[in-house]
Amino acid sequence: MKRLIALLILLSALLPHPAGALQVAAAEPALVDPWFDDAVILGDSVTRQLHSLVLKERKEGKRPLSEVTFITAHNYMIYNASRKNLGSNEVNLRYRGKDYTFEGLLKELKPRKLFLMLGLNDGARKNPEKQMRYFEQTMDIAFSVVPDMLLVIQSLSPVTEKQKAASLQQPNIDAFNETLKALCEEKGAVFLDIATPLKGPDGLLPLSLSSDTKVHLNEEGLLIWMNTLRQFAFEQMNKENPEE
Amino acid sequence: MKNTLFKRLILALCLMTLALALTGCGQPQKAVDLAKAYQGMVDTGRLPAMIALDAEEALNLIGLETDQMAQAVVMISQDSLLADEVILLEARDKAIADNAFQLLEGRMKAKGDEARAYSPEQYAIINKGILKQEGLVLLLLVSPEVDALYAVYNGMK
Repeated sequence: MKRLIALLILLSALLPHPAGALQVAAAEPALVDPWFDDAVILGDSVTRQLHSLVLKERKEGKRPLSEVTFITAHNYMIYNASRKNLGSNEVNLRYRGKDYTFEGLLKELKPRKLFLMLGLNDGARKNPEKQMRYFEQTMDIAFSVVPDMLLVIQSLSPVTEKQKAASLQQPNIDAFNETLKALCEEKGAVFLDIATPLKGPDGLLPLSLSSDTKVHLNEEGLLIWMNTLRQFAFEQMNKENPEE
Repeated sequence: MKNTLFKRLILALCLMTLALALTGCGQPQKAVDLAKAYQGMVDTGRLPAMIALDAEEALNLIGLETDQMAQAVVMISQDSLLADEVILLEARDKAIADNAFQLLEGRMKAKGDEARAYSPEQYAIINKGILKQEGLVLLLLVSPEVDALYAVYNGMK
């Protein structure tokens, strides 16, 4: 019997494990989630979906991403974030019953860590010079308000094969993300690739991970994104405390 | 004579009782049980899956301080792409109610601003939403079936 158990353990160790599963095990939620206590996650409707999942899990007694603060607005664009003033009918950020510009919100919250995911509503064009200018202005605003913050710019998430809008085609999104990555390096922000773990073998968002068969993520997709955030936090914690 | 006086006394007492009942004097006006009202709305089957916001979430998302309320039901759609929302509040005093009404006005406007160019379908639903203050009670209802939800509340008054 003992030999049988030993054989089973040995066989189990030899079985292939998906890379993702090992990564998730390393970034154990209970270990890494408190890292998000002083973080703000800011974005558009896709980020709001992640917020909804967090709210739902909280009702189930979990505390995913711990005390993280979400600030989201449908149709919020990198254009909006880059502006110092917005019109009264434009989409502003809203927190505790007040409207804020991106700059005003940072002055209010002064986050130590800021995760941004914006750009899908601006359209990922083949030549995204204008959008990159907005990103540059947004990063300048962020560092001018909180100079030593950890600014994490998340890549745009992928789209499915059914996404037909010319402004959101996957090859353009990929090019957009590459340009954005280079800009982050130049400006001292961290670029976080959340897209790759969400892509299927064809480089697109699989329909099985989308809630609207185009851009938005379903719960399974959102959990993959959350795990990417946790893995990032795990790596940051190792950098901050290499001996642990 | 004695009989007539007695009849008049009885009539006067009846009229006084009727007057008290009609003006609500003599006993506090009974507030609607907002949790029951919300459950009634759920029972219509016209709401999608909803999430209850706790005090911290209601403060961050809407600015509401629910500890200032005698009753508070704050529900948003679990599917964040749907505009559905049910907020039922009974404030502890008029100043709190007035302040909460302004916050709900801001909430409604922000929902509209976000949806205007983004989702015409949800924008239309938000535009037909109901925002009311009835004394200390406040209602914000956003739903494709908003009239049915409001009827549930009115049925409990």
